[in-house]
Amino acid sequence: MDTVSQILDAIFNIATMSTTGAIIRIALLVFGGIAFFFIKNWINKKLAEAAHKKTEEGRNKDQAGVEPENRDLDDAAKKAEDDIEKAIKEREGKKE
Amino acid sequence: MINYFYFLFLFLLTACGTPPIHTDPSEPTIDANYLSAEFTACGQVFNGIGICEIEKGKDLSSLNIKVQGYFDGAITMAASCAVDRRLPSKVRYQKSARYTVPLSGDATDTCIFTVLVSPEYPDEKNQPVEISSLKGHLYIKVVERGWKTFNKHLKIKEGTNASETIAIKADGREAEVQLKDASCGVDYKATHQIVNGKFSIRVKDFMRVVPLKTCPVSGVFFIDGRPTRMTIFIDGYSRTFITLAIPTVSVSGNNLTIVAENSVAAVGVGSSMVVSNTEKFTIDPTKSYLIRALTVRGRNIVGVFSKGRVTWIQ
Repeated sequence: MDTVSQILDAIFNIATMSTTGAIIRIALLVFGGIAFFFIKNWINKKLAEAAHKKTEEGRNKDQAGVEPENRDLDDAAKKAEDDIEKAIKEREGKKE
Repeated sequence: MINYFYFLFLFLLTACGTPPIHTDPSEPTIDANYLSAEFTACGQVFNGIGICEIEKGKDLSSLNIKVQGYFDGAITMAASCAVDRRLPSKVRYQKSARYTVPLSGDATDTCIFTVLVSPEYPDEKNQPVEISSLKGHLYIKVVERGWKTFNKHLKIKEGTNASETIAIKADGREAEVQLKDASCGVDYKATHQIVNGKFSIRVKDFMRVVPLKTCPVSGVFFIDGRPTRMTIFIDGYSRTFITLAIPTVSVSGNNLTIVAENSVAAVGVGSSMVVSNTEKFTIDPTKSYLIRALTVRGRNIVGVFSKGRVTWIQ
């Protein structure tokens, strides 16, 4: 922690600097901060665009899959019920 | 030390903006085949999977199917029992509304209602988060008057280790059970002894391997020659999928606070939904509410709050 403090003091201790040095450093700090802010936002924007594209692709794919999946499941359910109704009829036939 | 304020300035400069939508490291529920769309039907609340019975000839609208939306978004639907009955394939909803499904017409044959909820989170376009949809299936079982029935829906991890047991109340000495579902390889026939007014069927007895798919198992059991028709609707989901932890809910006066795990992106009570994993809501503690927690990957948990208690539906 001490080492970090020393480094930060060396960079930012404006009190020990000349006026020009202080102005330059403050200007660098402000412009550096603004540049960092814009770069960070740009990266975030690109990441958000990529994520949104994937979200939209996923939504479209999943929405397109609803109807076929429903049809398959519906067919399976009807077939299973038919098989059971046949089994019930068979058993009732045997009983008679 | 005063110079550290410059860092604070930089930090504040970069920390501005809307609160982030929490990400979820889980695989999307839709890929894991974990059904999680919330809907109500035939007077029950379902989380992804459910069964409703309807007597032959009755109007399907009596099922009163309502699908829960989250924020704004789209609901995609399909149901073979609604062919030519103008069920829209896709609708848009707003403000976490519950959409009443306009399913109508006489119930003639058993059918499946499938729904896909595609939520659009506030400001999602500006956040590096991929949002997944939530899917659900409702088994609409058409029955004849006087039939005895038994229905059960389950979510089970795929594979050979299914430990679930289905207990069925019955009077008699033994039950001859038959179960069938060609789509999931189920063809089971066995006699079960009835002990203390019930008998049990282990899932692994009729489904040696639970597949990664939804299985509409149909069956019957005979006791003294009398049939009881069965439906066991199984959601076989990925073995690597981890279900959402139950959130902590506390009530103090008119305030209900939900604290969910960090991967939860939104919590809600009734039609109120917020982007956060923890939130305080104002309620009337004498009334019932539906509580929910949701992740961007579609993991969802629904709770029914009534008389100070919450019953969770995973």
